[in-house]
Amino acid sequence: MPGSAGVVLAGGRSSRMGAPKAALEWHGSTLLRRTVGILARATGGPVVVVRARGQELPELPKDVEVLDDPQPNKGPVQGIAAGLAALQDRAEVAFVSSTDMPFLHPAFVRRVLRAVHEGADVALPVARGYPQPLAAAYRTKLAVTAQRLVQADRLRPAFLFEQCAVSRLDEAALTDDPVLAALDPALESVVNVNEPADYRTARDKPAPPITIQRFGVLASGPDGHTRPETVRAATVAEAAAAAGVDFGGGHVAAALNGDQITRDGQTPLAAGDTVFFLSADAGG
Amino acid sequence: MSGARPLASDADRERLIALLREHYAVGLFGLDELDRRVGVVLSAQYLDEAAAGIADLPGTAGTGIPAPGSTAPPGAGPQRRPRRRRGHGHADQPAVGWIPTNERFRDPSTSTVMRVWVDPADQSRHYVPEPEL
Repeated sequence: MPGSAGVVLAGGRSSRMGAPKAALEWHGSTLLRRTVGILARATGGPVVVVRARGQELPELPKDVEVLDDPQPNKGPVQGIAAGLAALQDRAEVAFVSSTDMPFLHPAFVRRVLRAVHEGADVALPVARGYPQPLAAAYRTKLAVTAQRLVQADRLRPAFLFEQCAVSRLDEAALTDDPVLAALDPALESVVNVNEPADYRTARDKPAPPITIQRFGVLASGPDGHTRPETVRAATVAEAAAAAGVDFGGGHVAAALNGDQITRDGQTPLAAGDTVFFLSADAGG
Repeated sequence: MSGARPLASDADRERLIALLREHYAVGLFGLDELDRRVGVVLSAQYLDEAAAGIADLPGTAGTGIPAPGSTAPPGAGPQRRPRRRRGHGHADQPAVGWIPTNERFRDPSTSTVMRVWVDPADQSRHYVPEPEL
C-alpha cells in the first residue's frame, strides 16, 4: 500500500491494568510487538512508536522508530500529532493504534486506510458501541492541526474531527469489505484490554487459525513438501511449534503469505495467514 | 566452487517467489509445480540455486537474476508472456463460501493486485481483484 504508515501510541498510563500494557505478554511475544508487526504488514510502510519519555519498551524490530512524546500526559491528540509529524514526509496516511488491541487484523487496518485514500482526512471506525479514534486512519498533514489544538489545550480527538473531513465507518461499512467480513466478522480488531480481567479473557482465547506448509527436509512427504495444514498460532514461533519445526536455531526460515521471509519468531500472525517453513541450509 | 559465487539474500528469494506466484496466477503451471519451485527458491543457499526455481519460465529476463545456464535470449520473456489471458482461478468476485487468505500479489498481465481465496470444498485457490487504494 503506497503512502501508508503506522503509528502506535504506547505512552498511556495503563492505570487500570496496573502494569504497562505495551509489555504485556502475548503468545510468547508482547502486545506492542504484535501491534507494530500487524501495522507493518498491513501498511507496508514505516511504523513509529510514540512513548512517554524514558518509558521502557519491550524488544522491537530494528526498523521500528521510537519517538518520545514531547509533552507527556497531554492525551492522545498529542501522541497523534507527534506520530503524524514524524511520518509527514514519507506517507500520506497513517493508521494510528493504541497498543492494547490484541486482535487487530491487517484486513481491518486496510479497510480503514482505504477510506482516507478515497478522500477523507480521517477514517473513524464506529464499532462495538464506540467511535475508535485509536484504531483510525489520519492524513499525515493533520499533524499541524493536531499540534495547534494541543497548544490550545483542546486535547480531545473530537476537536480534531471538527476541523477536517471525517468518514465515519459503522459496522456495516466496515464489514462491507468481504475480506474483513470473513476474517474478523465480529470486528474483534477493536477489542481493547484495559483491566487484568480483560487481558486474561483475551489471552485465554484460542489463537487464530492459520495455514502452514513444510518444505524440503522439514517435509515428511517423498516429493519435498507436505500438503497445507491448519493450526492455531498467534506468532511464527507458535506456528513452528505446531508444525513440529525447530525454529529457534537459525536453520529454518518462514515465508509469510508467500513472500515476506522472516526468521523472527515473534512475527505476529492473523486469521487467513499462510506460513511456509523451509530449511535455510543449502540443499533444503 | 569460486569464492565469488553470490549468496541468495532473503530479498532475492522474496522477489523470485513473488514472480512464481504471478506466473501461477496467470495459469502457467499448477499448485504442485508452484510448491516444487517455491521449495527450490526457499531452500537455495546461492543465488544461482535460487534462480533455478524460475528456470524455463517466460518473462524472467527483467528480474536481474540470471537463470543458471540460461539459454533464453534477452528480451524473449515479454513476447512469450500470455496477453491479458485469464489464468485458472481468476474470478471477478469471491463465490459464496470462499475464504480469503492474506496472500496478495500483483498480476503481471493486468497490474491488478489480486488476493488468493480458497474454496474449502476442494481447497482450490482462486484470485480475486483487490479494491484499489
